[in-house]
Amino acid sequence: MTSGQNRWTLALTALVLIAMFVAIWMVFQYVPNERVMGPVQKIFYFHVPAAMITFLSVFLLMASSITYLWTRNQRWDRISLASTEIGLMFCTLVLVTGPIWAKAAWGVWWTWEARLTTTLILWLLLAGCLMVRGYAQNQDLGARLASVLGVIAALDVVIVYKAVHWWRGQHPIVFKSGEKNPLAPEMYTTFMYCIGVFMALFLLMMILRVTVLALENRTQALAERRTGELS
Amino acid sequence: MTGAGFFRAAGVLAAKDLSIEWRTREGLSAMVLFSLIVLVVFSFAFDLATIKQLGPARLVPGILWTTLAFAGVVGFTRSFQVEARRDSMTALLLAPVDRGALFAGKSLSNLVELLILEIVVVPLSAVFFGYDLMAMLGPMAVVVFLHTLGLAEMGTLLGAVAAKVGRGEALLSTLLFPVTMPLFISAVKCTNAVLEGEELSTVSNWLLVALGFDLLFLFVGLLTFEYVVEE
Amino acid sequence: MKNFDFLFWAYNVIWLGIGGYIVFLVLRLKAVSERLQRLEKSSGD
Repeated sequence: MTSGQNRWTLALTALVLIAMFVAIWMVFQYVPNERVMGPVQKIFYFHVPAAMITFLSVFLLMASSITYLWTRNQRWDRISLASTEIGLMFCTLVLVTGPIWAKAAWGVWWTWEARLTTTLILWLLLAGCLMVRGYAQNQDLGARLASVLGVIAALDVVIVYKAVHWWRGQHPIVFKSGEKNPLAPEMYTTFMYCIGVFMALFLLMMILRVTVLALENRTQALAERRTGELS
Repeated sequence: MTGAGFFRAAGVLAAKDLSIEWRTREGLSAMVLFSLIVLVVFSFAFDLATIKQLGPARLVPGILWTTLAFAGVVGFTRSFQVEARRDSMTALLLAPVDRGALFAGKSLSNLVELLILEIVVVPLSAVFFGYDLMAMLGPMAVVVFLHTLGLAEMGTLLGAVAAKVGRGEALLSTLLFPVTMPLFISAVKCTNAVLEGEELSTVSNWLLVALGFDLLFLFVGLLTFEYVVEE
Repeated sequence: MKNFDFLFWAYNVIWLGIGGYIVFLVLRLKAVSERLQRLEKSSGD
């Protein structure tokens, strides 16, 4: 990493950190409590953006997996691995915050509802991608198998959603298309702001993860060449 | 490769697998015995009063498909172990055969083995849990075939992935069950409807889910199998 | 207010998750950068 790149990454990290503190302030101080559910509804400002980022990562996973299989350029595999890991992390956050809200609102920790179930399945699929990478004897094989699994996971999650939706559904839907926006203006601002912060966070994590991977690859290649020269 | 050549290659491959299986009958006998044991375990898992109270229509779909999925995992793992033991996969890869045809042939032989297993297991479930199979033979066959097809495709593709990293049933189950979840839900719903004596048209949306799954992953398998098996 | 308990834990979990991951990334970045520098220096000799 050059020092110029380094500076930009540092600046972005600082920016995201500040933005996150602003987000906490907005959620706890600025935004009014929701009438029916009270303060617990505030989890929505993190839960929903986290869910959005999860699905964004899955989309990125699919695109980079296909591109990797096509071009066999390591760069795409790094993006694919990074989006699997980051997607898995945000998916975990969604799965943890969801039940906390559900316990307060519905009185149960878990229900086999459409989106919850889909998210759980998605978590398992992403974990499977990482597991296969870990088991593979070499990086190239791991990249190929994980890319195939990534494509399968991304396509499957659509069918899972459709299937579970018909199976059972009771998730609260706040935004319905074609309806007037039901949120108070402060709520709407905060919500949009939180989405923005999470997007920036996602970008930062992707950059960091991909950089780490690229450096690791270079280090490994260099180390292998050195042992080759010595022997 | 021409279209006719593709089908001939797939047919030859499936015939080769099945003739090896026919000589030893190792895989099928293992699968049949395994399913029998799972069925017996399930009948002990519920006491007699529960079985009577729920009735076969509520009880059998879940038990039947869980049994078939577990037995399928045993079969898929074995079908690649046979290749590994004889080192015939390398020979197959050297042959000027389209990798898609390899996938089609392997899926076909897995499908046939599963269907043979089902010819034993479905009547057995009728005997154990007391429903009249003869009265619903046609719809049952349609439902079983549609869902077994998807299971065989996915089992072949993911079985190849698990075999490639040298892992067996444990990895295959963790990969296969989340991916086939929509198929599983659909299978249970459709089998339930059949056992209730309803027309297949009442579950037409579920049959469409199964058909969509079958077609989508047939396509995905044909396209991606070469990345899984290549050296 | 009873509801606040849930909220408190939820936020803690989120921040711990995100913060932990970023710290992990930065530490790894540092370690690998140092290793790379060492290697490049020694191969330059």
